[in-house]
This record gives sequence, C-alpha cells and structure tokens, in this order.
Amino acid sequence: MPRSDLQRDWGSSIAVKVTAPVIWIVIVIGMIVAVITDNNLGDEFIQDLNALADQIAYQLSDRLQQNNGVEISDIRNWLRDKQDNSTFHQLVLDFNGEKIAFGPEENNQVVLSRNLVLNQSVDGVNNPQSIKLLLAHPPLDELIQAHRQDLLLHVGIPFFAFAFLLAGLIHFMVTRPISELVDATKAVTKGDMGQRISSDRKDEFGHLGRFFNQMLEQLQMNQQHLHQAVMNAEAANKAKSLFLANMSHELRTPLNAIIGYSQLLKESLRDDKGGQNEDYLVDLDKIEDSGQHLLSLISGILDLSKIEAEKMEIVLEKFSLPDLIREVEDMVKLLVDKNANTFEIFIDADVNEILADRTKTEQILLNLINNATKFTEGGKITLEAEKAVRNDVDGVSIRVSDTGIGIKEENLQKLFQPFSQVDSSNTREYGGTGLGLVLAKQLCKSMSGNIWIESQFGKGTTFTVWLPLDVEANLESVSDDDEQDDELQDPEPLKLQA
Amino acid sequence: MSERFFRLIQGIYLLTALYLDLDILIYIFMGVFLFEAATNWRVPTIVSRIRYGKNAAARAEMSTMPIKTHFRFEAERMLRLTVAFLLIFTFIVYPEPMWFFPWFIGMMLLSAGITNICPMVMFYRYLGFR
Repeated sequence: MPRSDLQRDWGSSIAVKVTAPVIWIVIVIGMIVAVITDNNLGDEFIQDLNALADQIAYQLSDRLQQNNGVEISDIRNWLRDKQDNSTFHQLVLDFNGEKIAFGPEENNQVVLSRNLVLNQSVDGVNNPQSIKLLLAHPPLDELIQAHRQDLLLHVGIPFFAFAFLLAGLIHFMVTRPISELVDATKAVTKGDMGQRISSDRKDEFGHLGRFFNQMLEQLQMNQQHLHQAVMNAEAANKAKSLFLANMSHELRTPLNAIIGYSQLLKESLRDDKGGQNEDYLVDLDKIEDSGQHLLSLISGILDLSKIEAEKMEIVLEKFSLPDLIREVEDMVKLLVDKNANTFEIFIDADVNEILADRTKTEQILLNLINNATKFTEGGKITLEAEKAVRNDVDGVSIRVSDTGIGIKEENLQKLFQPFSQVDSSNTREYGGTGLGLVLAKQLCKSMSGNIWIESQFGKGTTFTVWLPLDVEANLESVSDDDEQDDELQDPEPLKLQA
Repeated sequence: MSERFFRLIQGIYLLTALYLDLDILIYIFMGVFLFEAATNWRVPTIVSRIRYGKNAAARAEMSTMPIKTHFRFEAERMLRLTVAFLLIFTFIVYPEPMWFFPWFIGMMLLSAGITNICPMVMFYRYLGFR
C-alpha cells in the first residue's frame, strides 16, 4: 500500500512535534534529578553499609546470647539468609581463627569488620570471649555505578513510556480527526460530493466537522443548480440555433423571390418605354434595395450564429493574396466611385501565397473596404499589405485606411458589438446592418488572426488585419489570451519583415 | 539507510554499552564518530550507496539539505564531531563529575531516532551549515 505523505515524513506529524520537546524536557529533568540524587552518594553508601554491618552484628550477638541457647546450624542459616538479602556479598564468621564463610569472595572487595563481645559461652564454641564478623561488599565506585544505572533506567523507562503515551493521545485526539478530514476532502476532490465527516465531538474538531458538512451540502446544492442552469442554457442555445437556421431559410426564400421578381419587373419596364414607367422603376429599385438589405442582414445573422456555435467551417486553400486583393478592388470599384473616393493599393513584394480560407478573407476585406467607402466622401481609401511577425508567427498585415469621418474614442468600444453602429443616426444616413465589423473580427479570429482599429474623429480610420501565413499550422495554437485579443488597439507592435 | 534510523541505532548502542559498563564499545563508538566527522564517509550514506547506487543516494541526501547555507561543512558531520568530543570530554577526561552526560547523549540520540527531530542538527543548519 502506498504510504501517505504523513507516513513518509514522520517528523512533520503534530504528535511527533509535540512529543519530541516533551521527551527532551523529560530527559533534561531526569538528568537533573539523577545529578541531585547522586550528590554525596559515596558518603551515604558508606554510612548505610556501616549501619547495616552494625545491625547485622548486633542481631548476631543477640542470637548468640539467647538464654535458651542456639544451635550453630541456626546461626549458619540466619547468616546465609542475611548474605543473600543484603549488599554484602560475603559474610565471614571468625570463631577464634576458625572461619565460616557465606557467599563468594570477590576481587577488589572491601571488608568491614565487627567484633562481637559475648558474656556467655555458645554451644559448639569452646568458651570464646569474642567472635569476629567480617562483611565484604563490592568497591564503592561499583556500587555507585550500579545505583546510577538503575536510577536512570527506572527514571528513563517510565518517562519514555509517558512520551509514547502522550504521542498516542495526541494522535488519537488530533491527528485522527485531521486525517478523517483530509480523506473526506480527497474524496470531494475526486467528485464524491456525498462525503460527510462525523461531527459528534463537542470539541473544536466537532465544530469544524459540522461546518465542513454544511459547506459540502451547500456546494452540492450549488452544483445541482449549476448543472440545471447549464442544461437550460444548452437547450436554449440549441433552440436558438435551430430557430435561426429554420427562420433564415424561411426568410431567404421569399426574399429571393422578391428580389428576383423586382429585377424581372424592372427589366420589362425598361424595355417598355412609357411615361409612368420611370416612377415604377424608382419604386422597384427601392423594393430591390430593401430586399438586398434584408438578405444581407439575414446572412450576417446566420454567419454570426454559426461562428458562436463554432459551426463555421474553415476551408483552407493556398491562394495568392495579391490576386485576391485585385479581385476585391474590382468588386468595390463601383462603391468607391459612388462617393467620389479614390482607392489605392500597396502590396509589398514579399507578399505572395497564403494558406487560409479564401472566401472568408475576401469577406473580411470587402467588409472593411465597404465600411471605409461608406463613411468617406471625396476622400482616399488605402489598402496596404505587407509581411509581419506576431508572437513569433509569420503572417501578413493588411491595413485599410480612409480619410472619412473617423470615430470618437468613446465610441470605439461599440464598434465590434453586433447590431451597433457608432451612432444610431448613421443607420439612417449611411445604411448598414452593424454586423460587418463583428463578422470581420470573428472571421479573423477563426483563422487565428485578429483585427485592430485606430481612428481620429474627423480625420479618418485605419483597420489593421493580421493573419498567419499558414492558418492550418496555427489553428491549434490560437492565442488563449482573450484579453489581448479583445483589445481594440494592437498591444504588440508588429515586427515587419524586410 | 536514513540518518534517522542510524541515530536510533546509535542511541540504543550507546545506552546499552553504558548500562553493561562495556567501555570498549563506547571507545569504538567515539572512534566511528571521529572517523565519520573527519572523512565525511558517514555510515548511512555508505549503506545507501551500497544498496541503491551512488546517484540515488546523492539525490536523497541533497533533498534533505537546506538551499541556502553559509558553510560548506555539513550539519550531520558537525553533529558527529560534537558528539565525539563531548563523549571524550565526559567519559574519559572528566568521568566522575560528568558521569550523566554520556547517558544524556544516548537518550537524545534515541529520541532523535524515534521522532526524526534532532535539535543539534537543526541548530547547526540554523547557523548555516549545509
């Protein structure tokens, strides 16, 4: 079983962090206690040994002087018993040179001697006047050493046991509830929102547990609401797209009929010369213009909804950009001349083929040039194309400038919003649907490009379009920097290739 | 072998040697520590290299070292040096008045092995040892 983070880094545990200082304090206190008790230990040992020797000698004398007499075997047993149960490892009874020893003799032993003075004879002893008792014990430093070892062991073991107990207690009281919380959090992260932790405790962990459970319940509710909202939004979007698809088809069909029949009628009226025909021709022109306007509006709405639904298909092909620009020039010639404008084209010699969607590129250029011609009278419209690098990607920059009415700075924000023109009065004066620039921007972005604007009110406007030379290679690496893409003015000066 | 595990062994070894009054074991202990301090051939590192190879042992060692240090001398090495000299001072030079100190060292090594928190190493790292 893989070890958890806590198991791998044992020293990080709260229980260990608390127990470690306790152990250190316990060790230091233990040492202090040991040193204090060890003070004058030698003198105390000597005193105790002498006192014990005196006690044994007195008890022996007393036994030997009992009135009813005492058997020597009893004395032996008694002395053996004393030797076994005292610090003295050897007791020697000296009866006027005859020695009876109890216990082994050891090297470096220290012998204490006690003379027993008796007033009467003892059975088995030939009238002794005195009996000597010799008591042997280990050297003092050995006794002290053994005492110290016992002391430290008897102090150390309980203290270490206490430290382990403390660690266990902290683990039970603190670490276990935290581990439970961690496990619950992990499960929630994996998606199990039904997870709850026990909140029976009355301490801080119980409090934390109750609020954690409340938070999870709230999150679960919010998640359900969000899920429902997403489903509703998806359904609404689908319905909208379906509606638009159906309605645009339903609207186009009769519109095409209107436009077609108005053109037919115009043709027949032109052939049939008559006085009132001129009036009818004017009216039919208006019918045709209105039909065309409505048709372009419906097409623009359909294109926008396709782009928003990400259903706009990019058909990539290699084509010559200069050739396309020349074609567009031919298409817009009438419009340009209509407002007495001049149209100039400057194409850099390095601009050649580009891998992109030809139709959409044409649409972008047409939208920009239409806008420029619409809002310029008796002025100049310029189209410049040159190679440019952006975000280390090779591309081409196309600038459409005009000397028209320009746009006020506060109105620039409205420019790329659908159905909005800078000024609603422009709709009446200049016409238009308000979808051209929005479409142009969306089409640029769908080909990994972008579009920016610079304008001075009363002086003119410049639109700059940048498209990569190889749209296919850059389709997957579309900039995710939405903020940068939404800026109206180019935040990064283009590196123009010489 | 981790330094923590080796400290556990050191603590048990020293306390056992002190309890059984086996001075020779304590002298060996001092000798090993002095050798490790002098050569930086530490037992855990040697064992790890034998078991896992040179690179794995070096990587494991580097992962425990602080990033910014003032001295190139390692804190673990300083620990060995300090413990060796303290033992020499308290066990050989002044055994009687400082009899408790080897026990203190043994107990602290044992607790460091159990808890993986060695105050002396932490102190040396705080001073800037590697």
